[in-house]
Amino acid sequence: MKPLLSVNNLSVAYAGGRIKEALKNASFKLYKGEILGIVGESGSGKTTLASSILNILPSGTKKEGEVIFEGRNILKMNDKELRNIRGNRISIVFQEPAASFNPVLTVGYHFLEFMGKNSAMNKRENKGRIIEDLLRKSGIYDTKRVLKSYPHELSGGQLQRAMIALAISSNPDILIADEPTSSLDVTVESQIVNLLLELRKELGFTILFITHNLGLVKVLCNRVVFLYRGEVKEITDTKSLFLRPKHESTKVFINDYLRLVS
Amino acid sequence: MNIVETKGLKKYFKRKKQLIKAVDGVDIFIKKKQVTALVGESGCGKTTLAKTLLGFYNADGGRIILEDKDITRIRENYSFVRERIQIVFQNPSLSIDPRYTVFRTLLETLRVFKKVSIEMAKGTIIDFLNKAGLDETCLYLYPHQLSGGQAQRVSIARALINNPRVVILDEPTSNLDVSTTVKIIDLLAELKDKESLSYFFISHNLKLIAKVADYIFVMYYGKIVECGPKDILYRNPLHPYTKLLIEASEYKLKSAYIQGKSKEGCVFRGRCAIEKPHCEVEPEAKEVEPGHFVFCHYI
Repeated sequence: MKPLLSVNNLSVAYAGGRIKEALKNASFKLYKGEILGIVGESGSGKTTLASSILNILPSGTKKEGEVIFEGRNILKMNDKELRNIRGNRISIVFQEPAASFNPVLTVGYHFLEFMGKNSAMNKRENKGRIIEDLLRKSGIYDTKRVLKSYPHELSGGQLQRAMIALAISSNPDILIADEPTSSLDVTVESQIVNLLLELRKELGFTILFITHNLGLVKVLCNRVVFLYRGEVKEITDTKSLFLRPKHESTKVFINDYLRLVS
Repeated sequence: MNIVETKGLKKYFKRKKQLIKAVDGVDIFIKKKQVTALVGESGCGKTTLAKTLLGFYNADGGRIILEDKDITRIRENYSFVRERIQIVFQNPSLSIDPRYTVFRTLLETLRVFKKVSIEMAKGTIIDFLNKAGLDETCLYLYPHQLSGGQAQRVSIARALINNPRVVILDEPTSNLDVSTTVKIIDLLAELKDKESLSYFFISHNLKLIAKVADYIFVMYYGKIVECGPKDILYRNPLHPYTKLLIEASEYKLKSAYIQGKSKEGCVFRGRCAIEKPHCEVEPEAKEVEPGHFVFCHYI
């Protein structure tokens, strides 16, 4: 089967800073329809990986290797080509919903601006209805109020739902979820996770799920890429990750987790 | 034996002329040499309760009893309380002064209760750093030079340095990695036995609570809705809210409920699946099993 996205020998080094190499020679493939977990401790390079897939790393960052999407290397694309990919074919939901919205703009403005950037959607009429539908799909029912609200007026759960609505508005092929629930409450977390699953069923996008929470991996992911200090240590299906972790660092990680929950 | 007890403890805030009942008539107890846990979602009043116990806030009603002494008017009993109750906060990088070295942070804490020279203090400080799993190389580091786990260990050393009897742990690991969490939890368990401490463990992580706690209180919008010994509570959760939390911790909760509290009667009314007419009256505690209390009319 042909992969939807393949990351080949990707190395990323930030300019300055203490950690020089955030990713070393990472390779993996993402297939259509699956939920692939990117798992590792903080500082293992998970978010760097997500950022390089969208090519949103800060300027001055050294990048080697390639991220191939539909036969072309995202790392080599120009701004115009990237606009076609970012938030369009590949969307992302970040960890901190409050930090992903512009605090001085209403939630509704974000939707309009985003749709304005997307020519196909900009042409469509009755945008208002489309936006409200999206929000309802994402579990927000008082749409009018939410669209008029500023980010600080909404709860973390509502903002994350709005963020998901924004991310799926372009009907993306890939949704990158970068620890989308780690700043949320347990009850909200459970809802957001189930929302993602439902939306995936309905819209058929592929999920790249970044997390350090193995409990979530267990219920959500088909396959797992385990990162340790910037290196891919193990790529396996979820079941074998828990039953037969191969690499030493994976074993430690799994054991720590099991000790906390059992 | 209870080392700390509250009776109908209340703490209200006023926001925009609205009265927010953050802690509304709470009876809890912290058992000696055990881990008593408090579970609930964010905004349910967990931290307010902890801060009221420590005297960061004055209680608006009810009583707090520490070692059989009424300490409700904490400002009159400051040193008595602080010598016995200490706290470890959620975010170590926010709870340690960024301008102080580790040594100065601990020195200042130590000198609150003991008049000691710097040389004498140094020995004690190193001793407590070791207990918290750090060594003297950390002494002259600033908080930003420490990792999250190390900073939390400094917080723990700071909480223990005056030999308290009770330590309040306010989500001590929710900012940490899995592997760091394991180490901190192990450390806390070890210190509890060594120093014969009682813990009041605040968390929203039910899996972690299941691991560490002896007795659990479940809180919802300022009220305790269910409490019981850990094994009983997990085997037989009765209150709809406890069930919901457990469901959520297994990622099985799907529905988008309306968050909020009802004005009268049972606090959980607006969100409860079994809402019936009786719920307009505030439920009282029912002891369903020894030590297992539920605040619900329909159990």
